[in-house]
Amino acid sequence: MTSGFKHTLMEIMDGSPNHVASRWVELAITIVVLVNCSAVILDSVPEIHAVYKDFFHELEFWSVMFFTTEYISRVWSLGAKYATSEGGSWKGRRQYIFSPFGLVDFFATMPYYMHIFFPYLDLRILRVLRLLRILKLSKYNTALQDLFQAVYSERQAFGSAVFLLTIATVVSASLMHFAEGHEQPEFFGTIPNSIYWAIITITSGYGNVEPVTKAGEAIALITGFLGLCMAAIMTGIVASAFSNQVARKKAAFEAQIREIFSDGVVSEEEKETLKRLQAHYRLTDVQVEAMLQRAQNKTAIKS
Amino acid sequence: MSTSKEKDQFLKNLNVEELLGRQEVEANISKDLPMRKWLYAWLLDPNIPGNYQKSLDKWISLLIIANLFSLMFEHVPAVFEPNQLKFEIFDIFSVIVFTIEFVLRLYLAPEDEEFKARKHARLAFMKSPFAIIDFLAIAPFYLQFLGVPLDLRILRFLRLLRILKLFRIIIPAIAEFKELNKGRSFRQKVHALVFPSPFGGTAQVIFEVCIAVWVLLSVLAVILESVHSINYVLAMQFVVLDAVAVGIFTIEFFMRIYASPEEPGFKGAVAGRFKQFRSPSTFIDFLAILPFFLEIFLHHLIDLRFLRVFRLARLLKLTRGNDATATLFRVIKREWPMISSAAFIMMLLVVLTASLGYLFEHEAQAEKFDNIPNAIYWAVITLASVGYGDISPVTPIGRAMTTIMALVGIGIFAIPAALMASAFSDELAKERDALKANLFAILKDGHIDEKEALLIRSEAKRLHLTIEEVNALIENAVKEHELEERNPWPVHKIAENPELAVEHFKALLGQIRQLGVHTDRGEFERLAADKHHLSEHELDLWHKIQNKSS
Repeated sequence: MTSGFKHTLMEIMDGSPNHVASRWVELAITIVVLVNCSAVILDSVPEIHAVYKDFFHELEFWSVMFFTTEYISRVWSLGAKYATSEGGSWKGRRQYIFSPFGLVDFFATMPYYMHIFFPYLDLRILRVLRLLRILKLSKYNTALQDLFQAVYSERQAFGSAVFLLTIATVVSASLMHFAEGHEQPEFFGTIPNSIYWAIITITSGYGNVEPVTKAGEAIALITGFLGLCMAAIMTGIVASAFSNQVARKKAAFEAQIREIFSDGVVSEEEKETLKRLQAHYRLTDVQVEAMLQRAQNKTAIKS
Repeated sequence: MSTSKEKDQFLKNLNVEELLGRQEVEANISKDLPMRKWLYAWLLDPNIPGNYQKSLDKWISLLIIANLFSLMFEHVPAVFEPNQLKFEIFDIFSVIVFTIEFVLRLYLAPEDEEFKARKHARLAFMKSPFAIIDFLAIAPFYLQFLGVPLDLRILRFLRLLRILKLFRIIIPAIAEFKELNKGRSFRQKVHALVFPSPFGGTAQVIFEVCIAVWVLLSVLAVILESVHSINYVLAMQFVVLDAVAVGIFTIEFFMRIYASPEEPGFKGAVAGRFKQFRSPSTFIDFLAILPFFLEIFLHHLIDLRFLRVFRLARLLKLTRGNDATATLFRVIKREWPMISSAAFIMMLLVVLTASLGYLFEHEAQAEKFDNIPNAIYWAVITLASVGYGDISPVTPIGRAMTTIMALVGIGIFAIPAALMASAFSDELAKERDALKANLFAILKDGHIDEKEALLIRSEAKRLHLTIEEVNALIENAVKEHELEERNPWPVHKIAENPELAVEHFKALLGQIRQLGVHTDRGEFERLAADKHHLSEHELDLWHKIQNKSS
């Protein structure tokens, strides 16, 4: 009986589409996380803090209770993931606790307890740790995983781009250090400081540090131009990797659709599979419809 | 193969330019015609394609509208007094143009279908209503010269008659509209006027142009209103203009709502109208008039003047019937999951950067990084590579963090742009695919009839295809078509063309996959594992192909 409930709870917490409740759990966690993060952000404004201090405190207490319940129920229910023969209940739990999500979940509640046990901790570090709760959302959004996969699959291109960037940065930073180091020691006195300047010039360009010597101006000009090229390269690589990732997912889905259509009929079971796959690949109805249409056309032509 | 040859011949003869109706039609007017006939053929004959009749009509009506505006602004002393000379020059110019037009029409009257049969063609022309209007439009100016003492106000009123010249365009449009809508209900007529349909004709186009002009006018008024020196002088005129614009838009809105059950897909007196109301373009129409009425009805409760800014949303009314915005919305809707995940990553990155910035910099510069919302502002400005530089990190660790985050940021913040770009081209490719499939069916019987030509033409126009692109599509369709009729194509012939070979290989792979789907896999494995049937290498290949598809 307990194991049955444990298993159901595990599926619900895992976001399995077999239970309606899993959607509600997901929604509740998302809302609590968003409310929490907004509260942390607003709480850092002294004027708001002065008025709503108690409210924020209350909110923090209840959300920590919520997250603790969530964490404990996850750990407990994951005991049902593996049968005793496969490694026992602690295998699943261990996997979760040391997975990135498990760590995020753990650090979402920990600061509060730390504050209780060590009341003299710096409040700001706690605040920042509390903001990390937003990472909990990535469990329900595959975007972050997509991005990492995309970067991983294009790692060679990334490697060469980073290499180029490093060369550009180091060369222009050290040239700048020699050209301006004596004139503006507060900005270009050390090479790390010059590197900071070079990267900011390449990416966003605050414009609060300007070269004063002729040579420095020339180097800044070249750095700015290099920055344009580097930014374009980086942008292009990330963007194309991301859209490639999307295309890969779509192709995988389409192959499955083809397979389903290859016998010419779509059974109820296959429809279920489609629904599940659609949710997995995060495709809109329109996209799926277009793919179905294409697959149907293909089979129609063949027959 | 003879049919294939015929088809080849047919394709060679196919003139895509003609098919698309893009050909520059050279008006076929011989130079030997007598002067009067020749002039008439070039300038006024509505039945010769490629002559200047259409553009003449267009420019004249533009001049009439410009006249109307100049007349309106003459009533505003603040505008009129410093520019009196310009107004006078414009008036003289338009009277000259209108006079030339009138004289021309009078001179060419004997060529006109309408007056040709009459005994005194020019007299008959002079008695026709259009001619009277044209005459009245210019007469006051000459009367003034002849020394007839005319009051300025009467003169202005008479000049107002120039609007009537627009009837030359409006009356045929109305006649056409009546002809098209003979025997249809009132609601159907309203529908034909406000929604694009085969029953609309020129009248519908005129309606749309009118709305667009008023949209531009009212938006221009809102922009100019915010300039104090202009608003000081023209405050009253702006109020009137806004009221008139809102009146027109309100009528338009109710016409659309009233007629919407006639629109396909909006059936039902209540449900259809409500659906229409919820559709983006109609809702924009509603938002365009809402601020005005809210301000009128609720001004004693709350100060709603801030709502006036939303009048600028009227510009969105122009998106109705614009292909590009429709495609944009469709693309956004289709790619919503990916866009939202990109936004999600951006949010994560911003919050992370901001909280780290707050952590490292709060102590060093408490006035700039004094709270997390400020840090978020700094993070967005840095990550989006705007870089105002009003807030920047000073501590070494803060700078190191910013360096890394700025590098990550340029990549991440570019994702939405890339997504949209690829989605756009994807959407276009999809539509081209559809067109290609259509072409396929059309070309199959080896000839293109009127209806098919119309279809290709409208699709090509919608997708903004050039003639070369349509040509390429047709070629493509033919190539694929040939591939489908693979039977007369032996393998060595396919192999001659690498492009076909790739397609053929893909098709074969598909067949193998299909085989794997239909067959009993367990049995297959068992039989195949027997060395006599398949070698290890072959079985491995089989597994590879099957795994790829699942």
